[in-house]
Amino acid sequence: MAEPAGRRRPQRRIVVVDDDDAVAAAVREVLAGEGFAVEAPGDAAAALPELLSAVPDLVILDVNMPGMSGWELCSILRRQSATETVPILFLTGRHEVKDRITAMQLGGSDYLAKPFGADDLRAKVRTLVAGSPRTPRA
Amino acid sequence: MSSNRRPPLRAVRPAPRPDSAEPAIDRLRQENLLYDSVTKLPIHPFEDPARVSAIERIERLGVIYLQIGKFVGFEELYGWEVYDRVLVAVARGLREDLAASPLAGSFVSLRYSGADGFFLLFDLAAPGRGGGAPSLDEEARRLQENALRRLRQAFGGTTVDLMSVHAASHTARDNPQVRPSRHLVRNLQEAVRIVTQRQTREKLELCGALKEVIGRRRLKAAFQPVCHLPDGGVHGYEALIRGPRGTALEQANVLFAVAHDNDMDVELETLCLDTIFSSLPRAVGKRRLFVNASSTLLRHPVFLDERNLKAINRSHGDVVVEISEKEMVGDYCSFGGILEKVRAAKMKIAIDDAGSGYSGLETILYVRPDYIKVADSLVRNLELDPIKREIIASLAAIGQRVGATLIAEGIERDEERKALVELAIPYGQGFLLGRPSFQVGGRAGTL
Repeated sequence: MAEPAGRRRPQRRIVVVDDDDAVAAAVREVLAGEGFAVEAPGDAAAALPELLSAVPDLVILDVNMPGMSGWELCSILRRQSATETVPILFLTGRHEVKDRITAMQLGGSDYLAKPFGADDLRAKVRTLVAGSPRTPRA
Repeated sequence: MSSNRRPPLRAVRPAPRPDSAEPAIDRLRQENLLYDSVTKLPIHPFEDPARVSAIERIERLGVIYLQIGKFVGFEELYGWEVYDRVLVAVARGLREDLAASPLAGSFVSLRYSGADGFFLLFDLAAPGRGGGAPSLDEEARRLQENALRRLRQAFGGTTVDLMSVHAASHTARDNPQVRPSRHLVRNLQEAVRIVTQRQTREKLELCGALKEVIGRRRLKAAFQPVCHLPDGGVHGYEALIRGPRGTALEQANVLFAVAHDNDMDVELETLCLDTIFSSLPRAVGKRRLFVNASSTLLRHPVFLDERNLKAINRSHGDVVVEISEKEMVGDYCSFGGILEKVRAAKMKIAIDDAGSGYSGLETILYVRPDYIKVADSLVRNLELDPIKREIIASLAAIGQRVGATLIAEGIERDEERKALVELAIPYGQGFLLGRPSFQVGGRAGTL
């Protein structure tokens, strides 16, 4: 159904937290084509204050990062009332079942192993953003 | 002249971030370590720094220690997700009970032990404590009863019977001869000791009961159907063991936990196999039969004896031996020979509890099982959890690679069954598809 005139849905914001600029750029390229506004503030420590001050519609999170890992960042975000329900997609080179279980235990919403396919990323992001509590329901 | 000069010292600490976000980040990281993410309580021995000194100098300290689930390893049996819910329910209940408690005026602190217990601290000399207030011991009993009641309401009686909730109280006077920080810790430890002592008594009673069960051969075998998920057709049956009805040892989980605690695994498992193969219902004889075996049993010469394997074969010609994923961890080499013997005896192999995280997917590649049984913790609410579906999909992919058939366990709701069908999982079992029954095809005995 078409959006009513004058009530355009705001662009959905996605924050990619990955210290590898190439991965962040690849994610941005895939998702920008879907109409998302993608930000990549760098590593976890750099991203944390930004995520708390302006909560996005989705966080895409690497695990192995210097200083603060993606596991720790996820755990901190889940403790804060502002970000306790924000969807978090882990995008990581870790392939073990144990890592997926850790993601669940820390409150992750979904998991995608690197190297990732663009279609898989698009599908998971669409689902997570559609179910995001920040997304206005029809 | 030597130029062996040291280089100038550099600042180790990096320059602060211009937006001065660093102190806030440090605080968030510290909180993350000091508070439990599930119960939202401070993890013992952490205490709010502003209150440490006051707590250490309490003139008449009261401690209640409430412990859940330690004895039979509830979390190991039911998984972390269920145990998280147990902890949340207990923590919430304790907060409610404390708010309404006649001792509320004396309450000082509630802490989570970090595993299975909760510490409640009271200042029993605090003003405002009425003369009619209950004793600390009475309060401990009330908290224990309320915790059990709430858990029964939330999880059902059978599950809660495995949890063994205990609460003990301990009171101590301030002692100027002793440094307050150590005095406090010793008194907390004393409350834990009282609970442990009660648990030891319980353990001894259960050990005696298990010896009687084994000695009098008081086990029964029940059979649960393994069904084709799209149409519900019966593919086979899994044999499940039950202890004497209405006793603490009725559930197989408790039987095996008590046996393990007392080094009686092989005696119990041998009796389990005898019980299963001596009471096979006719309908089970015509289908594939899934039987659980621990690595201890499989390595045991009594099991591997050729006559024993032939006897199993004579009783049922189509047996699948289920070995839990956790039994396989890091011991492939010694297991290879055992699996060969099992296969040579015309039995098939299933990896049980797959995807529960004990080992990686390489276990499946190495064992090349005939079946992969997906852990029920992954099946529970899978339609709501993309990560669970992701893990099941990777198990399905690896199953296809090694020629193994997938069976999902613990299906209780149709939404779970439908989600599994969408993932192309062919078989499943669980209460939705059929409860364990003593007489398959007969009238009586559904559990």
